Amino acid sequence: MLKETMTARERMEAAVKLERLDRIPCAPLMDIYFPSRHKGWSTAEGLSNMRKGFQAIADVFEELGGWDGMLLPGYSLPVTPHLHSGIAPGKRVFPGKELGKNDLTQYDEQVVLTHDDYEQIVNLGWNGFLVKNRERFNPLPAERIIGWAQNQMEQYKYEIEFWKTRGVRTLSGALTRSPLMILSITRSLLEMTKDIYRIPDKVEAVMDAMVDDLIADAIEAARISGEPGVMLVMERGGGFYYSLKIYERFEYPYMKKMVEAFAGEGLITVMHLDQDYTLNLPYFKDLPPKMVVCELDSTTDIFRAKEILKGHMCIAGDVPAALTSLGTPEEVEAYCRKLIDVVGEGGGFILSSGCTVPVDCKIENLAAMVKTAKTYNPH
Amino acid sequence: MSKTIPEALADFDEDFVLEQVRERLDKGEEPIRLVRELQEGMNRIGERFKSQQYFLSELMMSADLFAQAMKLIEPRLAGTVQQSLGKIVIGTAKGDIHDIGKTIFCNVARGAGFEVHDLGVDVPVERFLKAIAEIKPQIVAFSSLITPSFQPMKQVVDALVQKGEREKVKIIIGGGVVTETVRKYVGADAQTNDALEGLDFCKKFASG
Repeated sequence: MLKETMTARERMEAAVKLERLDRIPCAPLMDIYFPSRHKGWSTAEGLSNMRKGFQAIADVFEELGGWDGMLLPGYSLPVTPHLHSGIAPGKRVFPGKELGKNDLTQYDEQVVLTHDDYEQIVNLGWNGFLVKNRERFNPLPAERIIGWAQNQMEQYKYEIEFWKTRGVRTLSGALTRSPLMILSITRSLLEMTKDIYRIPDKVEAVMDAMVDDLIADAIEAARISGEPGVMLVMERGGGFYYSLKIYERFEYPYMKKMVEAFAGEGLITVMHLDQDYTLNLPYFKDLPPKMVVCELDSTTDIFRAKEILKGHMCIAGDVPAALTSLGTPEEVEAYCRKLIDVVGEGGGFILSSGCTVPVDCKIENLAAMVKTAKTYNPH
Repeated sequence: MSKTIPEALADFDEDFVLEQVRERLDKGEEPIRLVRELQEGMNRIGERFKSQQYFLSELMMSADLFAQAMKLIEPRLAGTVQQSLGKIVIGTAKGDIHDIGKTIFCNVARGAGFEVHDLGVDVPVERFLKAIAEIKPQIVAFSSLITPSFQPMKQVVDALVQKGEREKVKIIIGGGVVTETVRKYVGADAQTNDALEGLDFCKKFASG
């Protein structure tokens, strides 16, 4: 073990602020699926009860002797207690319902929003559109939807408090998505892309009508949860899918507006970037310094990210899911050491899983990741 | 000089492509000629993708347009002897319902002249094995976006080994979560997360 001179919370906060570290902090992105499997439960069983499901995550933490931070607390969603917060138009399918009891919750890529909906969003804003179309997207009575949202936030606060008692900093007190991400999962990637080509002005007008509601909601959620950070999910706007010309018009300005608004409220943004954003990395230098965590899933070149973003923002990632699922502890340790050597040089790095810890992760591989952060510091 | 189908396909001019296909089919033009022109369009898209003039979104749109045009042509192709680069059986394995990458690859491979048998998503091991036995493809392709699909992909390959049929097919895996580690675990011949690189592998496999 290395001699530690910082608490876990101090270490996480210093990593975000690019300050000197006693060692690199470790903060896996862990949801309910791996801990459920590790308990011997089906994923459906883990999902079925909030407290029980969250306890499974906490038990993994205890089993491995703890780590420094959580990117999200684990089980619940940080939603504001408004009707619109409980209405999600994207189609998801769940284990034990549409899927087998051991499967993962996934998006079913279907066209849910129409061109007529675009018109409504422009006129009503995003939240107004959701409320007006409540019965279409969520047929439950309004009071039950609001009750669900309140329960989620209560559980979220409970999870954050739990981590605080363990000395662990949760980076995200709220969670939101960029307008492009929302439209892509509700229109489908293909139809959204066609819209960008055929009716770009309309798409832009829709995004303009969405972004302020998304910002206000996330700020409110972070205020209620009490943790000064927002996870901003962007999985479909990067160079893997789109040219920089499209990125510059339909993703970057909205991302920038959101991150700047959050920073203006003193909130850190954790940019959850799935798929390859290597081409987009230079744009991130325009974002507020020391207020953003660039969280990568192993498809973006994390070493290139360090070259570009060094001294500007913290990077988190990116132990690949395939490695923790199929590799050996020695291979995981070697990769983590390489990350600490290169991306951890000068600080500004949080060792994390590439996206979420996979459901079939080997516990000894996760242990190797946590242990490497605690025992290896060449700087 | 008016626009051609390959040019229009490469520019995603959906109205032009579909109208031309309908019109020329109605005039009694040989459907196979239209297929070749569409394939030429897909080649142009592929070149633009490889030179980074186009991105995955453009590849996806043009592949979708190709598929729409082929739907108009296919009923007229009955009885026509088509040259095929080879047969591909493809699917997303049990537990994974992601469709985007697979659909792009299917359309791109059809555009290049492969006979593609798409088994869909969340496909059980037994269904892969049944399709392989019936269709006798040269290539079996798996699409994968989440780790639980690793095991069923491996089970298909292991079953082929047990039956002594592994050497009869080439196996390729593709998708966001796929790496060289996964390729070795599954026992596949190639892995990629690039649809056109996958196509190049398939062409190589098909040519022996």
